[in-house]
Amino acid sequence: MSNSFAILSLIVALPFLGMLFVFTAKDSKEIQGRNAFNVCVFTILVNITLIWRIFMIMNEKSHSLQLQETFNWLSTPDINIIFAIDTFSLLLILSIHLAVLIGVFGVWRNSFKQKSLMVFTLLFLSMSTGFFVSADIFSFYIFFEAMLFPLFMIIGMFGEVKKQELIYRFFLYNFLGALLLFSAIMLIYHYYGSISLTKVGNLPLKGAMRNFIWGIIFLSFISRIPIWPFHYWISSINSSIRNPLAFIITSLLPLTSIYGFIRFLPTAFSADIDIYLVWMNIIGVVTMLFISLIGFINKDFQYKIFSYITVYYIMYLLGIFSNQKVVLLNIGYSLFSFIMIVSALEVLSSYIYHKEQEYETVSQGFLCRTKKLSFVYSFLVIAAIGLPFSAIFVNNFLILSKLLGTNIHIGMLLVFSLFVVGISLLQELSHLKREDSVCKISKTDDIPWSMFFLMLFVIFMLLMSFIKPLWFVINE
Amino acid sequence: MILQFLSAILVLSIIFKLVPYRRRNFWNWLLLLSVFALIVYVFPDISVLKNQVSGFKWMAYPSLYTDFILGGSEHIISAIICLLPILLVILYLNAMPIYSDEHPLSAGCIVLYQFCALVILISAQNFIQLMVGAGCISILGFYLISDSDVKKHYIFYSYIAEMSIFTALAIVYSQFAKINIVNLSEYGKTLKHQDLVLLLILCGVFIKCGMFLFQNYILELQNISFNRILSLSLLSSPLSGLIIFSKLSPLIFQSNFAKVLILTFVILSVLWSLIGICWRDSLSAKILYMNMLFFSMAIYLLCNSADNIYLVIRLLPLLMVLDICLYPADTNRKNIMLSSSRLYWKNHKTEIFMSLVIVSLSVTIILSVLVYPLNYICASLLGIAFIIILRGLYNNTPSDNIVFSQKISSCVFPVVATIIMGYFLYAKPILKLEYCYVYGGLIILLIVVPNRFIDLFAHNTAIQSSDLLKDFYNTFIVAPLRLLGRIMWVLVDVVVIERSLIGNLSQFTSKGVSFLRAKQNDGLKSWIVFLFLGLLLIIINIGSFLYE
Repeated sequence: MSNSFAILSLIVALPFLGMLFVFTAKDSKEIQGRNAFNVCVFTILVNITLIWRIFMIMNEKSHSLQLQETFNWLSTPDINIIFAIDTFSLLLILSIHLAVLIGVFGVWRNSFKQKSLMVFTLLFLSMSTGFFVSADIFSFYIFFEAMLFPLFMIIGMFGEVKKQELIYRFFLYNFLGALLLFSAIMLIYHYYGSISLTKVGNLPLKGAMRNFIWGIIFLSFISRIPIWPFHYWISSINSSIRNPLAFIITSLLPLTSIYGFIRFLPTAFSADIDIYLVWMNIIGVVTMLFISLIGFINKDFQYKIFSYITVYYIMYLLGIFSNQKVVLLNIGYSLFSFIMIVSALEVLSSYIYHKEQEYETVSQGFLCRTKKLSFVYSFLVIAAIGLPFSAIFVNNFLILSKLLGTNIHIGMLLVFSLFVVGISLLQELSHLKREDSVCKISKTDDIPWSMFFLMLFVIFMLLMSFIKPLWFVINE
Repeated sequence: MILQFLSAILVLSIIFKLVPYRRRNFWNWLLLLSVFALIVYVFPDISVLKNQVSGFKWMAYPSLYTDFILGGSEHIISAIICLLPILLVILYLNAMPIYSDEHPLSAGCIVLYQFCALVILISAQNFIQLMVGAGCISILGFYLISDSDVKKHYIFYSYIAEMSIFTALAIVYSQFAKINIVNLSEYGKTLKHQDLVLLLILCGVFIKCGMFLFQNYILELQNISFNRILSLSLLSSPLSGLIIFSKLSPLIFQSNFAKVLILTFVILSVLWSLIGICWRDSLSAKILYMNMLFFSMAIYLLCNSADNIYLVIRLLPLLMVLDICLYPADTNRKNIMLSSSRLYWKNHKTEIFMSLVIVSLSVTIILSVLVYPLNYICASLLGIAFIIILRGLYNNTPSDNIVFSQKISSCVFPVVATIIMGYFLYAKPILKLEYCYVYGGLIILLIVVPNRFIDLFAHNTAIQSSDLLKDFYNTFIVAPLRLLGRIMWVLVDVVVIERSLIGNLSQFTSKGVSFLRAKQNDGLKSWIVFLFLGLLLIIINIGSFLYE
């Protein structure tokens, strides 16, 4: 399906234009970034509407890339920039927009560098949208790297602990990953020219060259996923960020690698690759166990939520390695709910953390006094651990059944890890629900109505996605 | 019709959830009457309902198409009808402020949701509906519990149970790519990992039913108000566990050691519950132990035939009436300690008489409907449990002179139940001479059980408050997991990565930088070195160009 109106370019450009608006918006102590906030929210909402429109005009049942837009970038060498989407990528774009929107509401009353945060948020949104709509290896690489700049700035400004060391780690791992991917892209270009992403999985590579190219692509993607031994830099960064929007954006980084694997993974594995996959599965499961156990002993909720995110990302990764089309689409549906749940939980836990700091009190018993917060927080935790409230439940069932069918031992360890991270989240919930006389929180400290309604909207989305993943699509 | 009925109940509960807090008694009564009216409207012609199946296409995921079905058979409809009295009684108890509950209306609304979830579960004909029904019941139970500690344990146990069943069904689905429960016996024959599936399902079922080793979270319910205890122990997890067991029994009995394992757990649970009934001082705990005994026996019945689930559901209202009879209403306290608050039986002649009548009728019904020797075992155990509780309750020993304010309102349902059961016995004369052995034995027991025996450990805090299983789990499961997590954190994160990988990389970079900085100065030596390096690069470049 071709696209007469460049709607994909528009959803990439719109956040960028919004960023320029925010950049030039008036900012003073009295306004405290309110203009920037309003422009940011407006831009995201408009883009969400456009994404919804794209869902209407595309064929959501087709697995192929649609609404293709081609731009001739260079004639010598011949490089075209191609944009196209399928249901999976568009679902991820929508989930990122919703996650960022939730995050933006989470920093509504922040006064610290609000304008800068909004600028880099919109830039990140633009770059990540570009990444998910890119359909050729060059645009894929450009956006893959370009989204690092706003991330780098956000972590620099809002990674509150050990700032220098964190930025150093961030730079080190991502720079190495970028170099490796660049080498792979150059080699592919050298042999096959500027090709579409749909063809990357079917390249007739052989022998050492094949192992080399897939090896470095694998390393470059894996460096962004918190899998052992690369998990350390992400965990250091995530556990130190107390700004919910910054946390949400940072935790979306592994998603880009997950998506990269889906696009670059060979469509058919040869027998000699299988042995590597087994090892990959083992490393993945061991990391899941390891991170989930650390999350279990850690009292910091930020780390618990990081361990939850990590375990789920690795589960999706292992699902991708099962290389079945059905599983891939289920991963997309599951990711949609997963990202929304994580964002909403992060915003709420950040709210609790800041109240805790404000009163210099303990968070134990917080939910006993705040009814609205208690309701939405409990719901989100219950949905997060995989009980039947969101698409995570059904999709986990499908993904896990495939993994259990492939290897029962690895599957059972995976289930155990999921169980431990679930228990970690429940620990936090029961901690917040346990009555404590020391807690100075009162009814007035409940979440504002605006945030409550936003959370109700998230809950509504989760429930609807549970019944039908693409419930909002009305085909013309 | 069932679908419309459930939808109406859901709408009702949502509306009543939103009504103002003032005049809650009025709202409670209105809720009860509305539900009653709805039942009268929907269930007058049962013969029509029996042939109806409500449902619709539910989930259309790639590779997973799920139908949502309600009703479907005569048994299911009759099971739903048997649950209706329990629902009405709980709503009635909520409306009568006889138990110390702060938010009875809210509890009533959750009980309505719970009933809907139970109907979904009973009607389930596929894995997804089964798990959704069971999961909803667990979640609603969580919201129904008002005590934070009890809530915590409840959700932990329920989560383990849900995950176990979820994993077991995922294993089955991974092999057959089908979710129909009807064909389970066909799958079972060729199922791989049968023992693992058995263990997972039984783990989930035993936790839900509060069997031995997993009873803690059910017994902790003693700390909440009695109307909530009734809802949670009769319309919640234990019943959902039994339904799951009956639905998945074709999978369970594929394994060779299923029966042995189940029987072992049943025996242990029965023994444990009898010990609890004898020696726990809390009246709520005694009643919960009696329910544990009932559900253990129910598992045993299901072990003989999965269809016995409908029989068990028919016996549930009986259990409810027994629970109510044994628990004197006390508006001031949630938990009654028998040793410190004696009842003066003279003030409670009606309750004593009625509970005796109900137990006799229950024993008779159990004796007549179950097959030999199950009928003798179950009837005797239930009778023994009841008599021990009765002896604990009604004795003449004075203590701190607290007299419970039993109100006639709580006697209404026992009276109604007695009349119905009396009519049942009259219509179906099932009394046999050999049952007299059981009655005689129970009467002798009632006379000879000394109060001393029941009071033996009433003031022993170690027995009354110690939680052996919790200590066991903490020592052998939670603590090792915590230790493992800490070791991994210290060993892998701090030592291997921080101190070696990143540390080495950092040192290597800093040494490289300092080396280059030392060489790249404005001295003559470095000038010559870099000049020659540059020349070397040019020569290599030109050479390679000429060579090509």
